[in-house]
Amino acid sequence: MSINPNKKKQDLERLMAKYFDEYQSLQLLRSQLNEALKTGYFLMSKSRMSMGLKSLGQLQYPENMKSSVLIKKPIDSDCYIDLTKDCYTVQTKEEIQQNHNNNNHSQHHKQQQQQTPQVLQDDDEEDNVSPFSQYNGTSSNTTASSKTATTAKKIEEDSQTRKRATATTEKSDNNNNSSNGNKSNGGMMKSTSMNRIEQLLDSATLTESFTSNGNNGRKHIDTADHTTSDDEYDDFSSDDYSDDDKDRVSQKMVSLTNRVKRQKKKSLKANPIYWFGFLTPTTLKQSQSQFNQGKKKKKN
Amino acid sequence: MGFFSTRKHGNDGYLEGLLRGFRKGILTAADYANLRQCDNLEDMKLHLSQTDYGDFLAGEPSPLHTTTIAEKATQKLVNEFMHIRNQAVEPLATFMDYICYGYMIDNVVLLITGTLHERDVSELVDKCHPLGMFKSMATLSVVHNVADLYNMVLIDTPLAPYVQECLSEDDLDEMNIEIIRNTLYKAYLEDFYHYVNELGGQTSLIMNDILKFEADRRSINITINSFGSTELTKDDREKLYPAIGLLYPEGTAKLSKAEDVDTVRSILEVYSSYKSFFSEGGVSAETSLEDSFFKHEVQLNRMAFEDQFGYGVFYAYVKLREQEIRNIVWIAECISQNMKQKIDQFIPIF
Repeated sequence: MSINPNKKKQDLERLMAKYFDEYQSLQLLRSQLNEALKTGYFLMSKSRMSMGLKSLGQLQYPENMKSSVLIKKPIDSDCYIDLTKDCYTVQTKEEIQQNHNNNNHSQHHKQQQQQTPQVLQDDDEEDNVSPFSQYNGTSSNTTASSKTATTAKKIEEDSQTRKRATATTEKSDNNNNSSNGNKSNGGMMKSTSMNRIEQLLDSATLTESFTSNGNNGRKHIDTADHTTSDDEYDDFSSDDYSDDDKDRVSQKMVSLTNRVKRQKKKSLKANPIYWFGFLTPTTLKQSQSQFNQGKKKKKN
Repeated sequence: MGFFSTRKHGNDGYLEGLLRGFRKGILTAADYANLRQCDNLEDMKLHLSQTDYGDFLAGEPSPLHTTTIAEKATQKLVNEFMHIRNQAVEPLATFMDYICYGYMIDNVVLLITGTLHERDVSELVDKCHPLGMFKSMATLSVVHNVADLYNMVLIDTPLAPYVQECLSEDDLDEMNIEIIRNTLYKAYLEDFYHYVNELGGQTSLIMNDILKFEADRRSINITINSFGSTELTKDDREKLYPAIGLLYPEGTAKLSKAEDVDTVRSILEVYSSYKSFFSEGGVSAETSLEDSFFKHEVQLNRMAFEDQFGYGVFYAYVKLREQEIRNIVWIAECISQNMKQKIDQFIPIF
């Protein structure tokens, strides 16, 4: 049984065409992601202008949080126009941890040391719980992005912290010193591929779906409770109950209100923008939406 | 008038002369033109060393960061301010203390937020604004609710009278902190406004305009920033508006009912001073609204220097220098983020 050569040729051509289509869409998404991140960082800087430098920084979130993603600024400004490169290097938690361990074993590898984020230096003793799990993070990637960005760019406020954060600082300024051409670092940057980001987004999707399931579950319970109390409330208002019953119902109402308040607080903490206050400027909200867009682009 | 001016010159003439000397150190258009040409922060450091800033970044390890530049520039401003404050006699001394209260509020909020997030107190105190330091700051770490905040810390500070409006037994959380911040600032602005009117003369003339604008800016910002946030009810929002300013009371009453930016725009259209703020912005009105506010603030503060026999210049100088620091940080951020096309969005001062 022989394969028709024409059919084989057609298949190959179709595959080739599909490859180019996919590649084109990848390029488009990559440029959109780069643009979204770049605008996000920039809007964050603008927010700092209006909020004050100290109101938007690492002091606004707990110290023991671990970064799950490290986004590094490009060292080569040309990559802004070269679509075959990622402008921002993205490392997952495992990679960061691995880098950190390597650094501990070989102190003389200076460049690797520079890539170790400050946030993780204190985290060795801590458990492996996701840094945002305590906040029931619904957008872990965005959270991570904005947090890491904040970390990477705002860490330098304290001299002590600054020493530990040499990595990020030097990175950011390598951008300015692009004329020096740190080629070895450039090589490392190139090695970062889109599939890292994709892996990251996959994990973010999982976390999200898990969290949303959790929320749904909670909502379901709430609804059930609420229904009960509504019924009770109706009964309470319509019929002539004794004082004891009234007290019991009112107690239930109070506890329900408290529970709703607690739920509200939880949901508030889930959104990282509220770490920086409730009346944050529009630019910060736009910055967050840029990071969200970046995430959606990658999902596509 | 003659007697007043003679007496004033005797008490504050030297300090005002000193301040007008400091004013010459504010960056000019030529300095900004040089800064805009810089390719990196080291170049900026070089250019700044040729201005009045001198060697303020000397000894700073490379690579430089925008935050370092901002900190050092702020330190220079603080040194100049304290130099004047230490020689000031009443009533200028109290006037200058009032300037510091605003920074004290910022510091209190910074400390509470940091404590809520389990940050180390010494680390937090290091980050506080030097103009807003007070003795019992470190005690803030043991505070868990608003009543404690008042009883244990703020009662001995000048901020104590301001807290009374927001006293509650509630635990401190993000929402509470936001309300405390805005209520304290509202009370502070109103108190400062009454104080400058007690002083009267040119001081009240200049400062009234500045403080009224500051109050209106806060009202508008609170309104716009609260859109989309369901946690802050309209009644709560109204309580945060300062009871001074051009917008008070009609404008603020309308603002409290506003639900979107377009409504705010229509409310402000009847106020000639603020009418242009939105029209300049076009579609992305709220983005440039901040810039319009800063521009107007600079203009008002600049006007203070056209006048004599008033303390407005002391306030104006601090605010203008703060704007200058913001400008430098903006240029530095644009350079370090490779966004030079936006570099011109800073607000020149003189």
